[in-house]
Amino acid sequence: MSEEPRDIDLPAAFRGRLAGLDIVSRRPHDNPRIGGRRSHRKGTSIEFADYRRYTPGDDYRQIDWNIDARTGDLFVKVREAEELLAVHILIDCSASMDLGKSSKLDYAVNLAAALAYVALSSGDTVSAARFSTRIGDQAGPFSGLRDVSRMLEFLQGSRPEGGTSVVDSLREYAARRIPTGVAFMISDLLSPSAHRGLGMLSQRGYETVVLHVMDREFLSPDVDGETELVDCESGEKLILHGDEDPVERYKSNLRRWLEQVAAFCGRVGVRYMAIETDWPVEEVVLNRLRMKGVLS
Amino acid sequence: MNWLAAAAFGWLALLAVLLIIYLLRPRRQRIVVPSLMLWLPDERNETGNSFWRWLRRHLLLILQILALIALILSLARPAWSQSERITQDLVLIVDGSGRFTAPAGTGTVFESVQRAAREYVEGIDSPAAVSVILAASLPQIVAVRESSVGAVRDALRELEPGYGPADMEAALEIGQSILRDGPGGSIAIISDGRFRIADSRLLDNAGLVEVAPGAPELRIGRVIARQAPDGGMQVLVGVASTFANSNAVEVKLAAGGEDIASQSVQVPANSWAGVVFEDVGPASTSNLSVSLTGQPASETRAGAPPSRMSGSTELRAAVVSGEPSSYIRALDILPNVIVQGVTPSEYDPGASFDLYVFDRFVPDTLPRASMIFFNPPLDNLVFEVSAEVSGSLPIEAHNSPLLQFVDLSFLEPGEGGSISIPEWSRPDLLLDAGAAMFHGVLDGRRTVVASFDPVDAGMTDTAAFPMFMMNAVEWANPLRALPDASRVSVGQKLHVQPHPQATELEVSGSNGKAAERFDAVEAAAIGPFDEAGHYKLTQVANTRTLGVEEFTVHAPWASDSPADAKIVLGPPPALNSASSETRDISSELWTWIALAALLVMGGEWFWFNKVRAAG
Repeated sequence: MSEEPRDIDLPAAFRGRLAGLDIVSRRPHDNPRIGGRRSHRKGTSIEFADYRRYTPGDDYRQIDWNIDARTGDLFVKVREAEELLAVHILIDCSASMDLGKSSKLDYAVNLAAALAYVALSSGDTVSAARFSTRIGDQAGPFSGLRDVSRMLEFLQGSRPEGGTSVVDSLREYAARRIPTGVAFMISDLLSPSAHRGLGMLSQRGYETVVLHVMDREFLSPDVDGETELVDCESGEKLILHGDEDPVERYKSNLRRWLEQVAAFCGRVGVRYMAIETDWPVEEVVLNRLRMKGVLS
Repeated sequence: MNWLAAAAFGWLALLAVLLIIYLLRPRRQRIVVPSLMLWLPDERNETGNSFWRWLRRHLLLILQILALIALILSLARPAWSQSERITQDLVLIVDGSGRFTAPAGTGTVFESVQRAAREYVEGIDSPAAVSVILAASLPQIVAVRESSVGAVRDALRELEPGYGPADMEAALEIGQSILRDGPGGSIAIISDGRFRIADSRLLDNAGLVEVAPGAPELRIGRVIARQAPDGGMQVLVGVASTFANSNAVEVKLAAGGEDIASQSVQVPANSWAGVVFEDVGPASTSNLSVSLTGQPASETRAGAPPSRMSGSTELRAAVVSGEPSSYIRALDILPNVIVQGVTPSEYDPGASFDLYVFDRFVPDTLPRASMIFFNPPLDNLVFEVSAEVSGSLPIEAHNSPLLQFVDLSFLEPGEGGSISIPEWSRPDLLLDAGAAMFHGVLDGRRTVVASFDPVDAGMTDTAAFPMFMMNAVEWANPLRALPDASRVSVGQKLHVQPHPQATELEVSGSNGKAAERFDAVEAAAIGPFDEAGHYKLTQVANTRTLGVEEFTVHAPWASDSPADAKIVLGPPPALNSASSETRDISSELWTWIALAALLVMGGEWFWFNKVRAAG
């Protein structure tokens, strides 16, 4: 386990392109703070949205007298509301995230940094938390580009530790009284019943995006002959005697598991995206997340 | 279980080498994975201590150990020993001679033979492997090494007697060969003892279970159907009796289930008699039976086989006589005989007849053929005929081959002259000085001489004449170079009497050996034979094949014995007490174990390849 801060690679050109992106929120959230983001609700901004008939209680200052003069009816101007989007980034820091030649945790940290940069450059607030068996360190909410360095500093301090309990961690995070918003959960989901935890955030009003990070060794394990497998988190052992074809069976199980996770996310309104660590972060953020409708 | 090469167990030390190699094998690789969640949960190491999991993990080692142990076991040559009880052979030779068909009480003599055989088998104390041979004219093996008394009883019950005398020598040969192949034993001959064995060695370990000694029989000896002088059909029947007293015998001729004719004849003790049925219709549709008067038939023959003449080669006969018709009529009824009448003036000694019948004529130049002379004239150059007429009845020679079933009662004292008996001949009818009939080989020609005139004596109108002619032709037939049922063994020569016209004798073996040729003129014997088996003798006269005969050369014995004593046999020797002993039989099992080792190695190879394929 390295004590050195993790490298985050956000070149200037990449940052410039990230600044042009927004995190897409598909529904309003109960954020009392007004921000620069157009809200799905009607509000008090200067941006005209529509007319509607006057009803008692409306702000009479919003009555359009010109229309009254032409039609004899009272109409009030409806203006768009502008709200502050709260972006939550939850990074799985269990031991399984830092295993193998290409660390999933490194990848997750860079991906989180890019997403945080997009959010901060868009005027959204960003909160970050690390979790393994429980919610660990948290940071934020940060807002504005001035907080980018603090955000990155938090991310660089991510260390793998312990096992994974997605259910417990997300239940704990969702219980906090903080403004809901878009929650990015970056994890390898290698926890029994991890998908049930995803549903908890949605029930609490979070617009959840699951970025399922997997590496090549996980997708195509290199197992030959008699092999002893050791679970990096629990220490459990499994001996393959080589008398059958364990890799094929593993791949079959993996395929079925991925299908189950994706299907569950679809049912509970969670946006799900499987990401391989071989894919460059820039390509994922600039193309795949945009195509998926997570970014715009 | 014995180990014939127990030192091979030293190779078990290789097991240690095998184990060391197994322990030194590369250990399994260890891989840290993010989660075991997607691997097989039922292969958890902490629950993998069951026997089957252990067995599966070390299966290759176990198979190697098993294969090595199996190989070592096979090298140690395991043998399965077991004791086997030695059962000696008991060979029952049941005499199936035709005479045993004679009635005895409510059954036949043969039934008493069967009963005696059954009682003998049931009475033996020691366990034995019983073989049963039916001694008939052609012996049959009806049971081989049966240990079940019931099976032997069944085999005995199925036996049926044959016709004519039994070939007891052949049956004994078979019995001895059975004894030679086994652990020894004895031969029990169930018979009345009326047989002769030339080679006493055949009687080794043999004994007689005597049954109805001298069992009498009544049988049909000869049947001849011929055209009678008046044009009707005659059937001549010779009846033989071995009864110790004279009996009235009834001879019945039946056709279509109905009796056509019946005649009674008194048959003297141990003798024969002939009857003639006149105008009986086609003989081929007739049944003939003989019986003691008032008793069931002893023998029945369907049809009426007229002759014992053998061979398919035709015998060409010439009757040289001024009145040949009586002779031609007698010869005509014989199968395979072509007869032609020739007057004495037409006689040509160079003609290619096989047999001449000379009536009152003896040529100066004898033909190269067999000859039958009747009433040779006084002035002939060959025989010394006395002019004096004997006043006594001729005396029949015992066992004359020419007078079987021939009733000479028509002969009157003084009928015919007397002829001096030449050295080359054997008398058949003896007179005071000389003989009225004799036979022998004259300069290579089989010759029969009768001093009387059968026509004048009235013999040609009786059944005796064709029977005599049949006997004479059968004996004198030159197409048969082996006149007697000669017995020859390997290393011996076979006496032959070639056709006077034969130039060459050709002997060929049944084993495909090249034919051996002998000069017929010089040959008095052929051989010696160096191999047992069936042979064929062919007489050749230049390009003409005169006759073909078959004979058997028997397997050799240690030494030959001319013994031809009448059977004096004690009871069969008891089976040796060793019959209750046991002997060890050991059968090696190494081939089976080696095969098991190969199977195990094959399984190991299969498993190894499966593992590699999975890896």
